[in-house]
Amino acid sequence: MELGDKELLQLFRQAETREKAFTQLIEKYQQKLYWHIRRMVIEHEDANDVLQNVFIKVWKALDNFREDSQLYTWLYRIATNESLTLLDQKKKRKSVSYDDVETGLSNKIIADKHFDANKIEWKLQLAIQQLPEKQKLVFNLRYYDEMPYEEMSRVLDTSEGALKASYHHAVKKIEEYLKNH
Amino acid sequence: MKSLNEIDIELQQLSPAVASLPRKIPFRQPENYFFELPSVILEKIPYEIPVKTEIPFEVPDSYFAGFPQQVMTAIRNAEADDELPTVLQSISREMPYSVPEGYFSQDRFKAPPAEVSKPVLMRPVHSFRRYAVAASVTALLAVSAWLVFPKTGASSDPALSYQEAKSLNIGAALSVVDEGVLEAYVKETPKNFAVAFLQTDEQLNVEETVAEVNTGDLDDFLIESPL
Repeated sequence: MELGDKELLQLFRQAETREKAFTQLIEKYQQKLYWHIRRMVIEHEDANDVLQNVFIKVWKALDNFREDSQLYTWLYRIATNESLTLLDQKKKRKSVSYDDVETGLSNKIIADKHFDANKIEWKLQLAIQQLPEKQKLVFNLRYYDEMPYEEMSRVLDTSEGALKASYHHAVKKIEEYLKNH
Repeated sequence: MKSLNEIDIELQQLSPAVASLPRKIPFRQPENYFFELPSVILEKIPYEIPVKTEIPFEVPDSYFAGFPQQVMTAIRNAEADDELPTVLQSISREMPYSVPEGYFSQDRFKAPPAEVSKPVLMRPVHSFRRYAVAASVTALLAVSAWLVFPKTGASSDPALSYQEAKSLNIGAALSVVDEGVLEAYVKETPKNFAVAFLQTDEQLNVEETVAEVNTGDLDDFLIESPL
């Protein structure tokens, strides 16, 4: 039976159940966080690196986690920041602009061994890569993770109004892309 | 999570085309990835001995229960210490001294009008003054050198010069003096040695003689020989 976040936190704070609780926490959130990261960084190797870093950071900071916010929101926030950090590092390493990184991400999608240009789900991924960074994040969280704006505003530190606007723009741009491609 | 309907309705209103798309992520992860991930992460987490956060010190029983009263008592005692003795409390704090009328009026403390400073013209130093100063310094140095260094002309030294010794025919006079006595005299008074040495009819060519002497030896001689 899957434990609730509060129970997991209580178990984590006791030395004898610490590792067991953390294993359960990973099992509970690994897939959601993995796909959230993977949609941003595209390649599995990058997603794996980021996800491991996220959980290592969580292990170190979980003792100080304040229960006035949701664990789920906090994890998404860390995962988002780590993903953006990785993309920034790649951008700096190659001395390229964000547009070039986006092009690089589109190329990675096309280079995927399972890529099929005729399948709509792959086209949708290419359409998402055309979006600016913030709109991409908002669209993914809303469309795939079905995250309410209220929670999203805590993850991204942005007002609900701004998130709604971003989502609307993103949907329109995707629609436009799919019409033309 | 909010109900799917709300999100679906929103998307349907925004773009029916996008709403009709399957929400399938086409990417794939390696087989057994999620099964192995927890143990992979736990291996990477450094093992840390949990730090005991308890403090080993102890406080007396019910210390904190009576603490506010203790603090208030201490504050009251401190205030009582600050109070003046009864004798001083009865005396007025008004100063008994007086000042001349209008002493503190504003006019008295008016700042004097600021003096307009006159510009001072800087005269250029004429070049002939520099030459005059240089000449004065040179002259001063020359006079100092003349006073300090030995004179090569007429000497006040009691030793006789070569011409004087020749005119007096000292050579003939000294021929009767015992050699031992002469040697002792020369040793005792080295200055006179030069006179004794120059008992000759030949004119000494000083320039040629000095030229033959090594410069180092000459320097040594000048240092060793008192003038």
